[in-house]
Amino acid sequence: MTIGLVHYLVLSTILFTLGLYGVFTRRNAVALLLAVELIMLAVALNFTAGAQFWGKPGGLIFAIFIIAVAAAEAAVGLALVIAIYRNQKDVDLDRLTMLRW
Amino acid sequence: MATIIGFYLLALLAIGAGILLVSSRNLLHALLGLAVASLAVAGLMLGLRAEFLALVLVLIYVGAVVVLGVFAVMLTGHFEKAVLPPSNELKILGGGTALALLVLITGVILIQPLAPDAVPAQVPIQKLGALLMTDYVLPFELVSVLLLAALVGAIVIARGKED
Repeated sequence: MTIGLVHYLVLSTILFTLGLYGVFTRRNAVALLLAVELIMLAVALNFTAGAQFWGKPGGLIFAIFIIAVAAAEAAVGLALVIAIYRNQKDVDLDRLTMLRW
Repeated sequence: MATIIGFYLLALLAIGAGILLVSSRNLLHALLGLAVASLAVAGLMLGLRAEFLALVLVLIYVGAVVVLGVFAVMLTGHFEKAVLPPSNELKILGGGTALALLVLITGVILIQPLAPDAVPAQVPIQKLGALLMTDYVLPFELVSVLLLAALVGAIVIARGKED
């Protein structure tokens, strides 16, 4: 028995759904952004495994793009969290109701 | 044999760190979970012979995202204050949806016969660079615009009003 593509795909599915569970259940904005980062991590692993087992380097390029997008998302997301905290003194998502009435 | 044991160890480490990340009420512990999960996935990428990606992952995730997260935790005053736990209703609904998706995707992966036609081999970094400048030059330029926009946006949003 060897470690094949299926092992990596199942592992990245587990990590992806764990991150999804975090996005569903977290009520704190910082914690929710961290769960989104876990999803991005799982997708990067998925692309890498596919690229390496099928011998197509394009998947590696897209894994690099996903890591870049994850970094950009973290920077803007956490800046937004800090701006919200400055206005509301709170980053509880249940109490962020300024855009609805 | 060593690669099999290594894979399962790193996979268990990544899943355990992921559980810590989504369930810990202390945000610093959640950040530690993200760091450990990133390192474990970087180790798995080393096992896949994607050395360059493993290095990039450690650099960006552990070096940049986790540090940004520490700053966000610090600036929103969550060093001592624990975050609110999710309600039971949210736990059941969110957990059920995530579990259903997990079963669905895993089932599709296991049913669909996947026939990889290559063993993982190291892609020379020169080839990656050449691909970025030829076939994938348009997405590359788009990512550079995205990063510039994110840079300017993060500064403008986080700076706030000038007094």
